[in-house]
Amino acid sequence: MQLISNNDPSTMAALSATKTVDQKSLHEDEVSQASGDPLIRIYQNIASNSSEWKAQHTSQLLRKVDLRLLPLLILMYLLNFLDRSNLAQARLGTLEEDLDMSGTDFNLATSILFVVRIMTPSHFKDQILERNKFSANCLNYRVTLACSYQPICYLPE
Amino acid sequence: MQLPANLLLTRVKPSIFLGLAMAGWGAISAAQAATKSFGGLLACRALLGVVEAPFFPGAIMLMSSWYTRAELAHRIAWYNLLLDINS
Repeated sequence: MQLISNNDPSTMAALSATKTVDQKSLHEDEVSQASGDPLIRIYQNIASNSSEWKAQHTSQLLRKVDLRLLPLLILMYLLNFLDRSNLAQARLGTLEEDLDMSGTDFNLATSILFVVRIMTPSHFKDQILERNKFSANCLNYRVTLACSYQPICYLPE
Repeated sequence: MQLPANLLLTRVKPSIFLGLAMAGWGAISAAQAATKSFGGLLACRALLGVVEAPFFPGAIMLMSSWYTRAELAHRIAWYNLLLDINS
C-alpha cells in the first residue's frame, strides 16, 4: 500500500472509493493492486504468447518434471522394497538360531509389517475406485493376487 | 497406519514428510541388525510398517501436486508398471 502524503480531498475521495470496492470485490482489488508486481507482469507476458509456443513449453516443462520426479520415486520404492525383503535374506544366514525362533515365527515376523501397514485403508484407494474403472480393476487384480499368495505360504514343504 | 499418515500428509510438505519417512526406514532397518530377541525383531518390523505406510499415498500425493488430472493418469500407470518391474 502506498502512503498518502498529502491531504488532498480528491485522494481522500479515491481512498474511500477504494474502500467500498474493497468490501464489494476483494479479488479484483487485489489484482489491480498487484499489477505493479513483477510476477504478475511475467504472467501476463507468458499468457500473451501464441498457443503453439505454450504447447511447446508445456511439453518441455512436463518432461523436466517427469525426469525429476518419477526416477526418484521409483528409487525410493526400490529402497522400500529392500527394507521389506531383507528379512528373507537374513533367514538364509543364521537368523532363526540367533533369535531362538521356531515354527511359524518367521512368517509372523514377515507379515506383521503388512498388518500394521494396511491397518486402515487409504483414502486414495477410495478415490481411485470411484473415479476410474480401469485403475479399480488393476487394484482389484493386485489385491486378488496378494490374497492368492497366502495359501502358498502354508503349503507343506 | 495409512489413515493417520494421510491426515498428516495434507498438512506437511511432501518433501519434508517423505524425507523423514525415508530416514525412518533407514534407521529402523539398521536397528534390526542389533536385535537380540524375537520380540525385538517383531517390534522392529512393526515400526518399519508404520514408517513405510505413508510412502505410497505420499508419492501419489506428490505427483498429483505437479500434474493435472489428465497427465496424472499416465504417470500413475507408468509408476505402477515400474514398481512391478522393480520388485
